Amino acid sequence: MGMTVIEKIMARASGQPRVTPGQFIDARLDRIIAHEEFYRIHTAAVNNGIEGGLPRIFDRDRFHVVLEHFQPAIDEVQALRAVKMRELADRYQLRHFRDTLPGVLHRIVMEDYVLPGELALGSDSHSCAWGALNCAGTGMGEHELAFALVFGTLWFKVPETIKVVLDGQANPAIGSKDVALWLGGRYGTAFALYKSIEFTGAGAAAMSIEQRFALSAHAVELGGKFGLFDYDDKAAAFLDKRKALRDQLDGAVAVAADSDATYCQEVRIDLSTLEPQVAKPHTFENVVPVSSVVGTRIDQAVVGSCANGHVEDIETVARVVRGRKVHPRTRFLVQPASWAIWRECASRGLFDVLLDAGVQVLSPGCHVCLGMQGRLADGEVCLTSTTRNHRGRMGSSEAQVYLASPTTVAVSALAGVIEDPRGVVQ
Amino acid sequence: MSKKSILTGRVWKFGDNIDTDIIAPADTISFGLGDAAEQRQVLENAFRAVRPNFHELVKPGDILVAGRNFGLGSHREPANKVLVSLGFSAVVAESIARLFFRNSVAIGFHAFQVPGIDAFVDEGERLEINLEAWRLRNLDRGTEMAIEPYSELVKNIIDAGGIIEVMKQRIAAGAVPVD
Ligand code: SF4
Repeated sequence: MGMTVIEKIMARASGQPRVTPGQFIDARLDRIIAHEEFYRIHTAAVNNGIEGGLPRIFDRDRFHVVLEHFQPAIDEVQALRAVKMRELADRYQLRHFRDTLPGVLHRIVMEDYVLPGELALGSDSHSCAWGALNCAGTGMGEHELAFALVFGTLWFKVPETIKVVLDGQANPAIGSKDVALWLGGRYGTAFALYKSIEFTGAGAAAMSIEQRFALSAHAVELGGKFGLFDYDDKAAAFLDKRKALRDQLDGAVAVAADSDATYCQEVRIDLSTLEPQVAKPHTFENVVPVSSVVGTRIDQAVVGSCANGHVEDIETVARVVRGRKVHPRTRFLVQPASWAIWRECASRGLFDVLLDAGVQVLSPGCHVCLGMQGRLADGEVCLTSTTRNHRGRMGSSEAQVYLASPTTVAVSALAGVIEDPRGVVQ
Repeated sequence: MSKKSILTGRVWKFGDNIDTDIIAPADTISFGLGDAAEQRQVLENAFRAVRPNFHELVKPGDILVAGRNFGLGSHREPANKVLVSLGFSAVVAESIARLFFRNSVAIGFHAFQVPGIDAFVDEGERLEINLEAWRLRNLDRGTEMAIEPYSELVKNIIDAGGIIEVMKQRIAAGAVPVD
């Protein structure tokens, strides 16, 4: 019997011809990536009595630290932690320590580090985003990463796989965000708990690489451990722009599922029938079609994050707001996910379009997504294409955060209320 | 603590989808230094959106019972550690988010996924968790139910007191290759 993508990757990583779901394995890791939590990884070791911290780093060419959540620092505590991170980078003689060009971790590592077919860990829950490039990425906490960094191995329970088959052609106002939200609404936040998701079908193949980033990133909102796409020409074209570590790129081996692989569940989505979706406060499963919340006042609109701070997302915003004005009572914040995105958007004149319309363009990063900037007051309403609408995440726990696609957000920002994008975007 | 085979405590109950932003609000960790000041802040604000001043209510040994997908959201370990500093001896939930479960094991804290727990116990009742018989007892109702035992691997990590303790044992045994 055949294997799914994750079964093949875990079989290779544990040196076995095959593995089956439920089996515990000790897997060799291809790559580890940490953001600011590298500091806590180090202190987890120290506080638990390992003097001096980690006794070794398993492979300095496959360990990357990116100082991103904290730049620019919002207070002295963050600034101090960044200072300590720089000291640690020296102390551990890191070869890949990215300091001064921050952005969102996941976008940066997809631009520069992770590869198809790898088993890779990140110090952040959205590391499943890397699945868009066929990399089995997943998030881990600091204690486990301390162990993984020393030994280069970690235990896993081989997950079952859910196959999500995308068919049909979506309305131009519908994006992969709507697919993620629809899945959350239909199956809940525990849909893929302990499981791997494979996104496949003609609709997945037709998706741009950046649309895939959003869907893979949201695997974790659906409870999932991995959110994998097949490797194809689009992934190849994205990776081909990479300048760093070309030798590693040349050695990458993408992984595809066998045709007779076993799935624990199969979900088919006909994209042509999908309506724009909105998650109401305060969970990713509180999802309704946009039509049922049309007219809801919004004080702030946001496009950004590891899911939707990409070039196409900003392009979408520009297409919608070109020659028009953001509603005078609505603040519209756009935060690109990396400086590479920034540069491309700037050189194509997209930011001029945004600024003309009254959109605030922020420097790349996670800030707005997790409430380090643009915080909401009691009773304020935000419509955002970031990842989470948990109570209190973007400021007051009495604020209301709704999630939607960049298209829905942009159209609504012009109206000052939630609006159905299908009438506006064709 | 982690080696005790019977845990008994009073139950605090929560519903579905208790996320890490509720357990340990992002602004209280603010990606701080993980020091005593931060730990205090997290403790004082734990669960504040749904139960203000929760830290004043929980008694050592109490047991947290929750619904579906407890601990979903961010990877942040302060959300796991604060259950320890609140005094909880274990969390028992209908289901537990993957990262939250792994982080619990990694710090040596008991986390059980027990479908049916919601109907089995009410807030304020006393629950006994027997880790040898792998059974739960509702001491107020006198009812019992089985729970799924930990896998061998998970049990070993929790018994050791967490994954860093396992690492220390390996280091002591000379298992760390030199660079
Ligand atoms: S953009 Fe948001 S969800 Fe993504 S890594 Fe940053 S804080 Fe996390």
